[in-house]
Amino acid sequence: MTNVNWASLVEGLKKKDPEITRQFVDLTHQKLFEFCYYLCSNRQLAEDLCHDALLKALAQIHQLKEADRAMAWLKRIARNLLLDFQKSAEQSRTLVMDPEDEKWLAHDQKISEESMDAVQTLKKLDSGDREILILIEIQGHSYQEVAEILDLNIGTVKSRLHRARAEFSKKFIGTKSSLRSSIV
Amino acid sequence: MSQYENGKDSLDANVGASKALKSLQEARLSPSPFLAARITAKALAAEPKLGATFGWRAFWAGALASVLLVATSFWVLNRKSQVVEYAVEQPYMLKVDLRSLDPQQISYVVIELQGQPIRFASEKFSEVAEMKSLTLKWENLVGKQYLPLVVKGTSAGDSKVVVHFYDENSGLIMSKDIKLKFSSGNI
Repeated sequence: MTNVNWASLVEGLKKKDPEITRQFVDLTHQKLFEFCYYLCSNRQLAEDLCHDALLKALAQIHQLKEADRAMAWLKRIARNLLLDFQKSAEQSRTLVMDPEDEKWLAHDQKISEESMDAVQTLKKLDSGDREILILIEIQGHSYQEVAEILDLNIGTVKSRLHRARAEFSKKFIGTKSSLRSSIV
Repeated sequence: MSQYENGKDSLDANVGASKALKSLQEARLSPSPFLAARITAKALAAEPKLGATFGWRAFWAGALASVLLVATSFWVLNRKSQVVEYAVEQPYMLKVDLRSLDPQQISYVVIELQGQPIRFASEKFSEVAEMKSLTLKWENLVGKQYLPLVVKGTSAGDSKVVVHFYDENSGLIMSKDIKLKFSSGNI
């Protein structure tokens, strides 16, 4: 995605060009889906979030100030949609991975055992730690971008990242041992 | 276990955790193969067609201009199942009552002409006569109490004007309609 000319894409979206709309969706939806999936651990919800976030972004494309930040902007929209979803009383819940999703990860997506351990560990973190690790360690965003997505200052991003890494390491050991013992 | 061994175990665990987390960078999760097509189709279907051709303000100005040149009849489009009789080939202005709607909810409005004998009418933008529906951005209607439409019957028969109000996710909020009967004789 490094060679994408975001400025021209966004310009085309503002002109409602159907071909550019198609290109933009093709280019962004997979990474956005991945972000949503790691955030909520539910494949169907992740698809719905990705769908709604992209439609919202396309409808409000004139609000995007810096074209190069389109991907970060999309993730910010998706995260806010998830927060709204979780705020509604009926939907507030802890993250429970659907057993079908587990099969989907292991078989369809061919996730390694090591990666599966990481996914399981992410679920055990609180949402603040989880989102910061997803954005920085998995999706490679800069501190500045993460600060914009999460509406934090850079100092807070750095300190939260430090804490999140420590929490992840601590919980990762527990995840690995519980997975091994369940296999035995 | 010595302090050194404890520290080494902890370091190994951290390295293992970090490596597992980084392994997700390579794991490419793919959504349903239809997701992109679904999003694109919905995004394109929601595109306001009118905005791409000409501005709403221009259309409104044109519509009003055409109304000033001819005899007009006003009908506030806020009641259902009422049939109004009109003469063919005469432009009429219909006013859609917007007062009861929540402006925060609405993103765009689609006006549909149903039935053969009815057309949009505008002296300035004659091409609207070929269109069976118009999509208008709500932002152009903010602060207005009514949405005026000018229509014309081309032959005797029954028609219906339906106005749909949608939110930003293309969810239908509500619809209003009016049935029109066009007659060739004197009304």
